[in-house]
Amino acid sequence: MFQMDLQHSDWVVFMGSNMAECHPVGFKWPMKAKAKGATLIHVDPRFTRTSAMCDLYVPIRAGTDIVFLGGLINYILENKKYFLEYMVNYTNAATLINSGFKDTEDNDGFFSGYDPQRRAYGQPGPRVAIEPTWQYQRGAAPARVPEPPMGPQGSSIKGVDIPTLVANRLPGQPLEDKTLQNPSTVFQILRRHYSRYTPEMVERICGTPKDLFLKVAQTITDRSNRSSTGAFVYAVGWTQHTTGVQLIRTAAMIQALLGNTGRPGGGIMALRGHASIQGSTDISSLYHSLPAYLATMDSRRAHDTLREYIQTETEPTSFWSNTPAYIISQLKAWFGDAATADNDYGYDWLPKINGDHSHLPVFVEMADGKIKGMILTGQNPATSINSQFQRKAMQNLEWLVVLDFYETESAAFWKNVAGADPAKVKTEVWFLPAAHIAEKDGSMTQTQRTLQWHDKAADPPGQARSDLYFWYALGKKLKARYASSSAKRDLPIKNMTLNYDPDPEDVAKWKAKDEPSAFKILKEINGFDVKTGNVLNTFADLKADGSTAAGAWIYTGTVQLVSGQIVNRARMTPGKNDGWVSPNWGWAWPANRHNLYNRASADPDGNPWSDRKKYTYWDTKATPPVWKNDSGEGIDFTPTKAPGTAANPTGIGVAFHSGRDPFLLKVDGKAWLFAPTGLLDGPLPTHYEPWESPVKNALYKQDRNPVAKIWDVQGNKYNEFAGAQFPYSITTYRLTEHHLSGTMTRWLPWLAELMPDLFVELPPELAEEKGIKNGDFVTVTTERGAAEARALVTRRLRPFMIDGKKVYQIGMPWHWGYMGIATGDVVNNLSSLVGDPNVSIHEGKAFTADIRKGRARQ
Amino acid sequence: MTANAKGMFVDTTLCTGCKACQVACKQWNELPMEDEAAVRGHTAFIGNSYDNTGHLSATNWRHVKFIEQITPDRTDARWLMMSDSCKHCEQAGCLEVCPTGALYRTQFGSVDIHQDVCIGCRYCVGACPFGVIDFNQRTGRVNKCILCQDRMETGEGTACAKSCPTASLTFGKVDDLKQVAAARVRELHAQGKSDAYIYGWDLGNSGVITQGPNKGTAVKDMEVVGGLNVFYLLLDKPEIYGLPSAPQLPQRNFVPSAGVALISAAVLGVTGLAAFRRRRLAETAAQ
Amino acid sequence: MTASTYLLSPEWEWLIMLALFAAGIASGTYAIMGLMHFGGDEGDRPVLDRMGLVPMPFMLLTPILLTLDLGQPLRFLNLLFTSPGAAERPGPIMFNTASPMSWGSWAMIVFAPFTLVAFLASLERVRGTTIPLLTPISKALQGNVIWLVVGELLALGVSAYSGVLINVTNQGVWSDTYLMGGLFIAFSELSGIAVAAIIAGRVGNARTAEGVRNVLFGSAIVSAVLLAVWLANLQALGSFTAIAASLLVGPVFWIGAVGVAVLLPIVTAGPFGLRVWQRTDQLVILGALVLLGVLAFRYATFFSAIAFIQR
Repeated sequence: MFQMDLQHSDWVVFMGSNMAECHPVGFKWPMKAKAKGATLIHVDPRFTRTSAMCDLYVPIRAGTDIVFLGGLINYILENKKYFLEYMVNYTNAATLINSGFKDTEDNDGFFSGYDPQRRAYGQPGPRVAIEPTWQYQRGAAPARVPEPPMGPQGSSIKGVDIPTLVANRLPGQPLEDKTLQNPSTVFQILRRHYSRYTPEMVERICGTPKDLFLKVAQTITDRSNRSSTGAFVYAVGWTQHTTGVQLIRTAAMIQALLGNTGRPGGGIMALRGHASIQGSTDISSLYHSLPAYLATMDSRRAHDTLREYIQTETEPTSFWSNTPAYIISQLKAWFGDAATADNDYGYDWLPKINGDHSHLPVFVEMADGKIKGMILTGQNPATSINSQFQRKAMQNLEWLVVLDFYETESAAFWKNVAGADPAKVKTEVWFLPAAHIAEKDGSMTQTQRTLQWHDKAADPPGQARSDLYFWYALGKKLKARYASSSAKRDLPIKNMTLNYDPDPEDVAKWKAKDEPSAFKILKEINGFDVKTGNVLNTFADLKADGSTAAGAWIYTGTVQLVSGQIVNRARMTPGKNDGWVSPNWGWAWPANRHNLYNRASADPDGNPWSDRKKYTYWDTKATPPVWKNDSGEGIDFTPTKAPGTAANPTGIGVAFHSGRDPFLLKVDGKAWLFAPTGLLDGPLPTHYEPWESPVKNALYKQDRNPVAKIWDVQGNKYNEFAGAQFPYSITTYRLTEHHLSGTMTRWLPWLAELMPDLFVELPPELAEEKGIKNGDFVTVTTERGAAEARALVTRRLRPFMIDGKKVYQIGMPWHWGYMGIATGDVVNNLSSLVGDPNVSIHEGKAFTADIRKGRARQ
Repeated sequence: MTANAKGMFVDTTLCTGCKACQVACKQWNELPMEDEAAVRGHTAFIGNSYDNTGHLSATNWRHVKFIEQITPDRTDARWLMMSDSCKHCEQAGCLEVCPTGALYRTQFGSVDIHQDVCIGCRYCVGACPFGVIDFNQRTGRVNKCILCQDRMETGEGTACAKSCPTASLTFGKVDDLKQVAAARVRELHAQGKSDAYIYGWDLGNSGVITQGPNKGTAVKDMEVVGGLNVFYLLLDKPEIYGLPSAPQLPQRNFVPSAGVALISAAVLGVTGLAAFRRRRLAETAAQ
Repeated sequence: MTASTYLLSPEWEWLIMLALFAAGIASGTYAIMGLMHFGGDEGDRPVLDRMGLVPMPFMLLTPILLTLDLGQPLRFLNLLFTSPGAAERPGPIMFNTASPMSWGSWAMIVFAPFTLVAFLASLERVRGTTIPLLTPISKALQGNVIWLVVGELLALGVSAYSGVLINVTNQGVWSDTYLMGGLFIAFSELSGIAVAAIIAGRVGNARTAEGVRNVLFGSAIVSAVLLAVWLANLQALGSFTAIAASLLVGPVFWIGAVGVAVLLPIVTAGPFGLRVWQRTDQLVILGALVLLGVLAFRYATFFSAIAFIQR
């Protein structure tokens, strides 16, 4: 979904999101929907500025969203409110699952296949749990052909016919029961799994009054059908849990059952927070994925050679069947002429990961003294999760480089004000001033996958330089150092292409003449024909034979060659004549498709579900017939593939799917109500209490996520689960006035004065118990540490009745730190190192704490 | 009313309390961060809901107010938000008392300040019925929202209206805005939100408050001080928003006060004269 | 209508209070001089002559103090002459008929020469000092009835304008009634009589002293009536507490303004009650006390607005 699409929603549920406060400009779109009569609902532990704009506010205890959403699924299934035609055709509701599958209902909170020794499901291997009992029942696979022998390492792909390799891994077609009666159908498994997620259970666990829950259920089901659609809007309120991924998935399942995904005004709007956070995962600052979401080479998986990698990672029956072209084009982009079929395009030069190298475990290693140095660009770990742990770990660094606008908490981690003794810290610290966004060219990719280009408007002050310049200059220096080396480990740097020197006209009016050309980099990311150097207009042109290069296939099309002119489609042209989709307002990957899976906005025969919700449709009047969209949207389907096309059991990629399968990136082309692969903690979202919770799990004997990432290290003691010492449920969040740890906002006078001090929001009932008045200094504590704040006593937070026990909800915005104009304690002094098993995201949204009147330090 | 007056319509039902308007105003007018401790005598944190600005002042020309109305059992809950500023009254108290001509009515119907004329007597500060205009300690003159006079002179609208993401603040011809506002109140009433009414002009609407402590109270549009060129759509009584329900012009007192002074002078004169003459001691006896 | 607590205060405090106290002494003394001139005889001459020396120095002090209070003191001429910065105004005289401050600025400017004339005439009679040209002109003017009547009216205007000024605001207490102009005239006259009392106590004879005592009594009665009506109105409007019960203002008001300035003369200087001030020289003390009481009234009035906002 994209934000402008929200104006077409007939209902919007904001959950795990505080959109009015955190995406205030984008919030104009749900407001337009409201003006047209849409119902806006906010489900949240707090009554926020978003709640104030909504028709209905629904309270929920932090960390219990799966119960609520599972309750909606239960309501939909038991009251037959699903969009039957959509569900049967576009989801895997009818697919049969292995008869050995055991649900959490059978196993007291565990699925079949759990190994308590490893604390994991399925066969050993990171990221993707392949548990046999979770798999589809399938027909016979196509006949295999003999494969060419494995070539030597360093030349495993030369002369190999890749399509044969891929075809040899085609599976049999999934078996289905379209009547949905067979107990092994996903549909029946779903019903069983959520059978106890009743409105009463929702009230018991979430603390949500039953009548409010039912109002939500009635609204979304009444307004989801052929002529009505609705959307869930979420942000880190859903991601930052030890069950974060499953939580989000529950909503995706609801939208699949209600037939909203891929339709105008319908689906899930994922709100990401930074201006270019989407860009930072697309071009990958994540350890486990290469740019464009290709898997990083991993020593624990079958990735020894390029051929093995291709065999392991290519999905023969989804759009990812093109993985060979994508990875090889990427290697060509990185190593240029040095990459050839003879050396597997440089595949072996790249290091392989061998564990979880995400933020939290890296700092655990740092605390053990294993990390010698760190370069921070626009990152502030001194205020991050279990911040005292992180600040202390940083004291083990031999060197630290910080690039930022201001002396951040991380740059000052060694000072008294950070709780350190400078005499004892041996780290050598460089602080380099960074250029601001208006002081450099570049692109940003924001929450709806849209690249937006910006031009440099002014020189940065003094010696401040762009981050791009830093990395480029560093890379060139390294290349020079390794130029004469023959060591294998130096080859990637030695051979990498690093030729983004600016043309004279690029820097004519600016001070620094050595600023690398961001546009040249964008062109490389976009992709080009190796021989001619011409940019490629579509990823369909990418090949696996080394004739194309592309840094990230999803971005192909951002830069295009049109009538001999290079056009930067990431440039924004004002959309007044552009239609509401605004296809010329930047470039939405892939291929300028804004609403993914929009084939689903037409019925199985290709006709719009209704006139009111007409979007993508099969135009039989055109010759030849073709998929059309009159709003300027990119069509997310093969343009000439007729709706009635049968599935091809030997077809590669999307050819394997029928003309009725909109979900191109899934191996069966269908939305997954049941996820046989891809998730480490189960094929179905299940309620587990947060790692720190004031109450036990009322649904299962297994209280918490059995696969959650935990760290039993010094400085990370967890609060006793359901203990009495830290009895309050605490959540952390953001305000409109500040951004993240305040590194950009607490230094700005106009923002600092709007929210100058850290505060904790608590209900008057709790305040009275503790003798706390509005404005008093209070101290919030956990096993990890304390944070002092001003008390903001408000009825917007409340005591919840959870299974007969009173549980208070409190909350703190986490923007503060010890540097800047507006300073305050670091809220992450309170949080702990704990993570979702799939993506290692922390659980800042739900844990426990104590609160007392009085200052933290006298 | 000034012909073709320009102004703003503040539809508080669309306000998300984001304070973009406060920041836009500060940026356009290059106003400094208020030194709360020096000016107001308390530390920066006020904690009046999400309002840490507290009051309009010489360096805060726009102020977003937050009013939480939640019952103890939480069943009735709303959070009213309103972006406050100078109302550019058609009959402006500040304008009427200014002894130097520093305050003046512009060609757009707004009230602007000649910063090079103001002597800092602060009479206007005492005269404004809304507590808007304020004395600037550092410059020795008074300041308030001037409806972005420099922007209007180049055909633009106000900075705050431009920054508002939900068009809660809209700028335009007051006559046009009145029509938009009247239609909006009717639309809200049709949706069951009979709380809505206009503060600043009487456009003929009347309703009843449906939530909060004044639930059940009748409300109707009100024209005040001749009409406000920056006017509001409100959902509760004006006092709830820190606005006077019957703002008066200081002028109301001028003639009566002068009259009483005249009478007092006469009475004092007569009694004084009479008293002086009624001396028992004879003139010669005294000498 | 009671003003609201969301107002801002013009912060007219010590300087303004002292300035208008001085203006009250100047204009009050001048007014009482006129009263004693028309109602008295040659026996009052010594007191009258010396009273003439009082208005001018205080009338110099007032604008100095007022100007010092301004945020931009050097621009004080903008009160009288249109600044070029106010291009849309017709020049050159700056006069806003709707603004009591504009009225008052001009009243004081026009009144000032009257105090100078009285001063010069008195200087010649008391000290024998003459200034060529100015003294003879002053003496001639001081003998002119029309001059004296106009001066008297101007004096009353100066006494009253600051009361009308604070009435024409939206501040609590100040603008709640129509009575401030009358009250300020009354208390200005009280301060004028107090000055007369001090001087009479030094150089006056028993008859003048009696006359002064009588006027003090009569004016105090009128002031008491005005005060009572005022307080009753404030009570009805709910802003009474700002004057009466606040620590900032209450004690000074009740003891100083009500007790000393008004009740003391009524009780002790009148035909009934205590007959305290029988000796002429005792009038000095009474006069001084009443002056202090008037100062207390000024303080209580000006600070009541802030007390109202802070309540």
